[in-house]
Amino acid sequence: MRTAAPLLEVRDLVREYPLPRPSLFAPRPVLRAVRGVSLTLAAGSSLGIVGESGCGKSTLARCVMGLERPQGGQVLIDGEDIYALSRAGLRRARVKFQAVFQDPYGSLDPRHDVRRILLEPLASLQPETGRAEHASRIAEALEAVGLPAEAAGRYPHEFSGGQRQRIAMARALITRPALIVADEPVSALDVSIQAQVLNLMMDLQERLGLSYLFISHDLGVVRAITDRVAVMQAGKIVEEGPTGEVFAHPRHAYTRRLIESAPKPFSGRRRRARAAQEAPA
Amino acid sequence: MSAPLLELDGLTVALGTGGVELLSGLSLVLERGERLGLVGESGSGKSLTALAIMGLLPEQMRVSGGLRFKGDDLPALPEERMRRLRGRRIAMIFQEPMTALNPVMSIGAQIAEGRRLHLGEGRAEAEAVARRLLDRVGLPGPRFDPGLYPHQLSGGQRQRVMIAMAVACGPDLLIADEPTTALDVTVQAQILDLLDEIVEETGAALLLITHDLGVVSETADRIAVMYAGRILETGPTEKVFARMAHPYAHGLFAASPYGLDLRRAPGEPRPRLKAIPGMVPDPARRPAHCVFAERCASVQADCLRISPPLKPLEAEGGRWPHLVACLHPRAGGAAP
Repeated sequence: MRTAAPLLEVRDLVREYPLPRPSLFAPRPVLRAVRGVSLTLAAGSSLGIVGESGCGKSTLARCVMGLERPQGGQVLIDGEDIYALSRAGLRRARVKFQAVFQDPYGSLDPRHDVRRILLEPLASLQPETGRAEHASRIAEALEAVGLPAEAAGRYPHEFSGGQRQRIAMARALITRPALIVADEPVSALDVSIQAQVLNLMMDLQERLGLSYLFISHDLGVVRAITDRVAVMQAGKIVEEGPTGEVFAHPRHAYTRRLIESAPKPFSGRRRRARAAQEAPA
Repeated sequence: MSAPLLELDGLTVALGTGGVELLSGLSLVLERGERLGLVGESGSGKSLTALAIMGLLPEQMRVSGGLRFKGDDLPALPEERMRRLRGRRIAMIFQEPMTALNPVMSIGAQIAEGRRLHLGEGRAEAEAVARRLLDRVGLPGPRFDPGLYPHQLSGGQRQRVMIAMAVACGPDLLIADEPTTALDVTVQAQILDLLDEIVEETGAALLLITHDLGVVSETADRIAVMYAGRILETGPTEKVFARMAHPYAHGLFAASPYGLDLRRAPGEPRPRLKAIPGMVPDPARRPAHCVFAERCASVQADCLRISPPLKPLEAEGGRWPHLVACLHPRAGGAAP
């Protein structure tokens, strides 16, 4: 059954960056990072955005998180246009959507212990929560991501990459959001650790009814964790559909090229791309 | 029979004298024209192996065991002779083309540098070769002038320059350490193809270091799976993939999204990846028994007593036997 309003709706999103003038009186060239992207994400489901570097997927994620004001289009979360909200309104709405980033080393402040890292979203977004509530929320978040309660008193450098991504996940969960925007959350991790974190994300989704907007360049990872997938190229979505369907029967030539280029075990030695067919990149 | 091109015979690298072992007893042989893939996760010692071969280990690391190149004992060679091998006979391609290239030197000069130093060619002569090499790696003139600087090129183009530099002096051994990890998949495919062609044309040996099972499967004739400073399984690529006799080799595959069977009935929960529990042991705390025992699902009592050596799986292994360091190797099949 479909609910009336999707949890996240992006309509005709445009985000451009002016570039430096090539000469004094020349017009400023514009980098069109996101060129009219529309997508919807139903509550409790996950949508993957795949594409190569420079396709605009991270810019799209930043726009959805309210970090980059787009030049055109809308981002609606629970039917509310986040860029039409006042600062205070956006702050209230932010409780509903949180982010997890790629770099488990850069995204946690090394001078703060885990307790303080986890408290930050609560303190700034839900200041009405009291001390007792803080303690219980921290315990709840750490438990959810499979870290011991003592972890609260430790510092990021005491944790491995996989554990740090768990801390980042706990920080995202602490406001009890409905949507998590994850930008390459497992790209920096080794395969065996990556599997642990992906499984955790699937468990949490089922238990808490979370939705994920999952940005990744890794087709295998996206295939494992998403219900639907959108393929981005040069700022546009060239193909979108149920994940299994898109991977089994890619319609767009670019999607096909992505899938064919990705190396696979068991394929034996082979030549992948014929240099003759493509310009050197 | 002449000495093999590259021979590791119980190569061990330790931190300080009698200190922590980072690499423990690696043995492998590589001949010209062969492609060997070294696979493993971070901390397995695969990059350290490359540095040991290049003679670029940090001062405080001690090498023991055999490490021979054309019969020469590399750790015993004076630096002066090692320098003549590096770049001339043994060349390396690094992961980060941005940091491995000199930002203030033109790409043509960087490619020509090796030939001028090692082969004593003059500037004009060496730069003419650089021009030909740029053409060969898919950077044709006049668009790709040898006078360009690294910042004027994309990541994939820089990696092409790295390959041109590496093959400039016609090395016998090419070591590629995660050469495509920083690149997009479509560019990765082109770069792997290029490496493949270059190895075919020059007859050099390729030691490809990667964490990606897909990349080794498509590029290497033989693979060696490394974990915690050891080789746990090695053999011809198809044989290793067909059997995955070591639980870690299999675990690595099963944990990757490639290993996932996505079929499910509607309403059923999403299938989970087969994560390997725990973490790679810290080098200072590696057990004296099997290094994978603590994370192994099929661990048995004897696994906690001895550290199994690499042993052939079949009586008649041929030139490249399939070896595994496990007391209870899996019967076979990549399926979990």
